[in-house]
Amino acid sequence: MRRRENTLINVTEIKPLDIGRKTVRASTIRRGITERKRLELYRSLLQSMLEGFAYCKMIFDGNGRAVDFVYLEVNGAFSRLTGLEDVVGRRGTEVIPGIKQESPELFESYGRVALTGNPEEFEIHVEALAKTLSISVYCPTKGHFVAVFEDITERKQLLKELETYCKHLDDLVEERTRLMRESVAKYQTVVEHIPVTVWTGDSAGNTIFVTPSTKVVYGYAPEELSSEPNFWFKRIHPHDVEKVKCGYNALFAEGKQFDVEYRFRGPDGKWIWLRDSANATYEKNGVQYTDGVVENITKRKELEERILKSERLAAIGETTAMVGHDLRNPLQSIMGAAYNIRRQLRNADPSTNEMLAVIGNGVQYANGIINDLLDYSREMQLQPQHTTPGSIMKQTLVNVKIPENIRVEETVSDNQTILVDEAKMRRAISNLVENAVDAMPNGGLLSISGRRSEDQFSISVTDTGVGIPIDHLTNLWKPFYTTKAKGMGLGLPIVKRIIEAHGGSISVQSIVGQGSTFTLTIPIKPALEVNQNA
Amino acid sequence: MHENQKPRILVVDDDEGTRKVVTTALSMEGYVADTASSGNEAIQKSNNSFYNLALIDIHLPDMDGTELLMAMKETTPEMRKIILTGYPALQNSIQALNKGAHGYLMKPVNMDDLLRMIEENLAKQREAKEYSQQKVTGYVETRFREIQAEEKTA
Repeated sequence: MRRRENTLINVTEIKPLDIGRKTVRASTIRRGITERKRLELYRSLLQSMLEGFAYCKMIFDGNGRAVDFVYLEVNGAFSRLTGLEDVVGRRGTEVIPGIKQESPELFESYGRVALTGNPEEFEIHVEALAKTLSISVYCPTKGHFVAVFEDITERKQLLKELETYCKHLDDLVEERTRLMRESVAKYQTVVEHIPVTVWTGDSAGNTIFVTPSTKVVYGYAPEELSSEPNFWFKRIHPHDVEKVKCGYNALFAEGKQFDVEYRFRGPDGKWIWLRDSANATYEKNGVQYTDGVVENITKRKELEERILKSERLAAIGETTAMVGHDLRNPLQSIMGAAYNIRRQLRNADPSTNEMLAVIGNGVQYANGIINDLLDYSREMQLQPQHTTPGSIMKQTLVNVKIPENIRVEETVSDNQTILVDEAKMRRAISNLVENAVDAMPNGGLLSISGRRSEDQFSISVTDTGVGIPIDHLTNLWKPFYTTKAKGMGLGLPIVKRIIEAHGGSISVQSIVGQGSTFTLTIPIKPALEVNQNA
Repeated sequence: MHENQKPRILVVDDDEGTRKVVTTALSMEGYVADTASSGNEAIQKSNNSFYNLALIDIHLPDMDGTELLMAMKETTPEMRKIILTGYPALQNSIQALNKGAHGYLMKPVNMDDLLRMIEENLAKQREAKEYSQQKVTGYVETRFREIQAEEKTA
């Protein structure tokens, strides 16, 4: 053992030290390194350590309880980390006042290690230093301890922030998942309930996917679509197939929007109208696809057709009015000329007179048709007057021709005042009477009766004629419907309009072979149509 | 005016057929019939000649028949005017009567009805003429007596 002056180290007192994770073997001292050099080495190691190092002696009270400690040796990191200077030789309670009260577990740990020799590791937040430390405590020799510590305040802070952030992320994900689930559920509900079918098709026209609503929309279940090749195109109306094919191809070839209305044969063989549309194509695994929507527009189409038809009829109606007026003049000429001829040919033979009569009747009949047409196509204008049912009946029967073979029983003796357009009412009733006469070509009984209740009166016209078959009954009121060889079939529709314009109603009962009864009912205080005296 | 002069009737209608058949019927009945095919022609003719009665179609090319009623010259006795129309509305007939028409018929008119209405109107016109003649005579007599009385006192 080489010696230098003034340096003497008791080698046996130095035991192997665990300094943090580093181990330094003391035994190399014997191999020729001077004690001084060794001391220097240790010193520099201690000083260069990043961790704080404190070698202390524990102070116990009479009961063996740890009450304080003395700093024997500290390193630079100690001062740096704690901010404490010149602590060697001083007591812990002096250097850090209140440490025992604030961090009793620290004290207890030091005491335990110093006493038992068992090392301990822990983390502790030292309020006095406003730092969180990770401390390893060892016992080099009984009654002493070494504390090696690092400042983990920042690390702790970062960990805390990370934790908060993770929690925040978790919450976000949960929220997003919830929203997504809701959205999917909503989408599913919508898809299942709206009366359209969403489909995916490829460029060849095959249907790859449909939403479950197909049965509701066009009558076939989704599985049926693949039951045969070209299922869809086979069922498109022959006049529309070309239009559909062109449109579909144009979508893939030019990106032109596909939007076509076409007829499609449903499972029951009936034609329905579909509107099929798709906006864009996309590629997946080398195949071109498109997503589209198909809806059933049959009802809308029917409505459109009805509107067009009634517009057409309305246009015809307007023309009719004009034509009707224009026809009056030529009719006047014909009628006047026939009249003059008859007067000029005072002694004409019967056949000439007969011919002239034919002309006259023809003109009257034509005029009747014009009047019917104009009446039907015009707004009904009522001119209400105070009259009685009895008087209306009397006037009507005076002007209606009833053949000899028909017996008439008229029992409308009602003389209570009502407010109606008398001329039109007479017209309505005479129309019913004429129909009754027509129904009894071989004679019969025509009975007309009246009835009054508190707020309405009614007149019934009954015949014992041929009767009306049930399937004709609904058509009676349709304009231009007639089973007669002559006549335009406007009579009953006009009667209906007249009665309804008075706020009343008309009904019919009939048995084939027995006869028919037409009953019109008018409120006593009539709810007349507004167009009066227009 | 002479009593045996035939009544003069003006037929105002833009339809040739109507004019022809109506004037023929009127002639056969013993009237003198004249025609006008527009409102202005009718006004002109009534300014230049006397007519007992005018048959006026409500729809003339240059004016409404009811306008014509008021535009024709007033005479004494007043010219009787009958409107012929294709529109059956009561409103029109009231309007026509308010504007001075004495009658109203729907086209195509029944010729018997037309002749009857003309006869009725001419009869009324004769009554009115007698009445005004009586009034004039009465006036002249009264005036004569007045003048006589004045001369006496003078």
